[in-house]
Amino acid sequence: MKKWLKVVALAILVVFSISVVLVGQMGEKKVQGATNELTFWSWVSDSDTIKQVYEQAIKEFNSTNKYGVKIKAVYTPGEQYKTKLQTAMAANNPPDILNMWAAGKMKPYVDANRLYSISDIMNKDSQWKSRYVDGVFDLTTFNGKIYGIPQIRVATVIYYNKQIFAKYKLTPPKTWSELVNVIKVLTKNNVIPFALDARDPWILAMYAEYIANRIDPDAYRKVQKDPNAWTDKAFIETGKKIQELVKLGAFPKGATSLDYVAARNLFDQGKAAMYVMGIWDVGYLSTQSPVKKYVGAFKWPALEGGKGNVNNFLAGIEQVIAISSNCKNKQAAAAWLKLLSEQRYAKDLLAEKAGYFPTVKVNPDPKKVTGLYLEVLNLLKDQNTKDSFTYYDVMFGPIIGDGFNNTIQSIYLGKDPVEAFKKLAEIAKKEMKK
Amino acid sequence: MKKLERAFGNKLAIAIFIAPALILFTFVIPLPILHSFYMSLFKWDMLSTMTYVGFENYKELFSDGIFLSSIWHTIEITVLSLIFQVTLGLFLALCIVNITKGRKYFQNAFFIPNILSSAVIGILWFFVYNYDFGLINSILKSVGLDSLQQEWLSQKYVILALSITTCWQWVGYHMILYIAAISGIPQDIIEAAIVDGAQGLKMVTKIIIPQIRPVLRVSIVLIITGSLKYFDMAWIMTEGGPDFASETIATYIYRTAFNKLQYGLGSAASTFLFAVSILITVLINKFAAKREEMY
Repeated sequence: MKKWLKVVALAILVVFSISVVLVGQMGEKKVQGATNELTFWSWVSDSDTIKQVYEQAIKEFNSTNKYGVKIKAVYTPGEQYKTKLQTAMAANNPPDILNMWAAGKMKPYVDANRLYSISDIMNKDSQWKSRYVDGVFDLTTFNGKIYGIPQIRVATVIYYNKQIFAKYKLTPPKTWSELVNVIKVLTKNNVIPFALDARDPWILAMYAEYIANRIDPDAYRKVQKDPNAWTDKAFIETGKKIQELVKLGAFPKGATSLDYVAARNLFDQGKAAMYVMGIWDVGYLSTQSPVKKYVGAFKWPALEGGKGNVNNFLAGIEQVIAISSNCKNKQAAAAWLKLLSEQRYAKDLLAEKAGYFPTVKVNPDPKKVTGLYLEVLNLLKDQNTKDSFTYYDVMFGPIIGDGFNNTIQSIYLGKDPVEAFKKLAEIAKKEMKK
Repeated sequence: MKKLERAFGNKLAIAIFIAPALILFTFVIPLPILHSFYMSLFKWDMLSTMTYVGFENYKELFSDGIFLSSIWHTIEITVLSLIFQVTLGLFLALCIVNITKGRKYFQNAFFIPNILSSAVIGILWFFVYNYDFGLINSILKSVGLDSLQQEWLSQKYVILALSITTCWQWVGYHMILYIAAISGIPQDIIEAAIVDGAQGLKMVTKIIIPQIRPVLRVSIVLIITGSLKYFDMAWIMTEGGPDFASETIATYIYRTAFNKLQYGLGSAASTFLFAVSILITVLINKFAAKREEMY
């Protein structure tokens, strides 16, 4: 028996020593492809038109570039992308070029020196930078250096069903009390005012971010420095307004068991009159939605007595592409990014074909885009960039930002706004101390 | 034959035969567990350098209200799953064992959900629970019970709703286990019991349940360990919501490690989960084994 134990012990010892050696080696050695091949990781799925943009630009680049470099794309859509990228980053084996998030979600990667700043390359090439709309790099700039190039602009507007509005003689509301009136008329006629997916906290948070801005645009700036500002009057008021909307019956019953598509279906079927969503849905709403002929858009209404202006947009950028600091050929990678900013990609494909709003200055042919696209483009022209703001979960990162989203969800479900924001302030305090 | 016996008598030969499996097993199971425990002693966002913080993560974990409530939700799901799956599974098994015609059909019908992927079932039941057009509310409406319509995935009902879905998925599996066990009871025991006047419920509680006790134990251990790591349904149907009302320990681990990038905290939570699972399994086995000896 004793001898038997010895054998097992010996075997375990052997296994462990082998594993230690192996693990040690795995850490040292990085798996690398051929030196003239750059990998590009993206989260786009087959149904995204942006995938076509990438594919076509890669094809063009691979056959024409002077660096002798070939780009190879790897697509990992959805949540898996996040897990995959983090695992690769943790093993210090990142791709050369990659899809990235902006602002607070990008910052940890910048802080850990995982991304390469393209400022130097861009500054030498003034013609490249001038192709972009002003301010699109704000959310990818840290310590004065640009770390990523966004492909599309996003903003949130209120879409509405013109047919329903006409039927009940309503006009797009310009103030909160007009909005309340619209909601009252709609509920009286058994129309759901807003198609809301309350399962995903970020969607509800967009309402709150707008309301907070209309109350006081400074609140958003204050919380960036002082976590205690989360308990400011502006946010408490916001919470109360959300509960006011719930009480008015502004949202569908059972909204917590609706997902993105199910909520949009309510709008598509004409059961709901309004729909608060990003302009990334313009393409869908104006070409595929059953009510596509009747969809219009308006700005979030002002609040009587509030300091925020109707031209402050909840806006941001998306589809950021960054170069990792491990990239084997940064010049070549930058050249590919520059290629993406050509009009044939930004205007022809992104704007006219897919209905997106590119970060590159474009003048889409009015005949090639939909009426809703022009309507939204028109709204965005009034944008007051000074007091505009971006999605809190993007701005404040995964702990405070998602914390805000969850706070709003709990308020929607009936929690006292004062209590809820006090808790958020505590989370923020702990996080900002680090 | 002699040669083979000699080979198996040789300890070195045994070691050589066992080694491949042992190496594989070590890499796949114990090492990651040890590694996860090691990670739980650090603060790490998977990007910056790791900082050693001792048991700080555990302290943070148990002061986090969401984690504490996630433990509670996990317990609720475990208890409900035990009640639903064991009683319903046993009931179905007893019914099916006694029918001669169409037994295969029922067996298969109840077993089918088990071969579907959890993702499919999650989406399916997400629609079943929908307020507007969901199956449950539609049925209630069509029979005139409008007042019983509910938001099934609201804070109030979400745990119940998830447990029912899980029951639907797994009950067939446990039923099959029980059927096999009941069919294995020696016929003379049953006959002797009948002669002694055991019938109906008495037969079930006094004869059948004690006879299938080992299988019941296995099934209970499976249900409990399965519920402890309850993740798939909660994530697909509600993402732990609304307002963390269906957050389980497993969704908490995923959220902290991969959404919030608090890798150390997530590892601490998974170490806790591992310890609890081991503890409960050992306890059940000990307790149940003792009871079995009594019979």
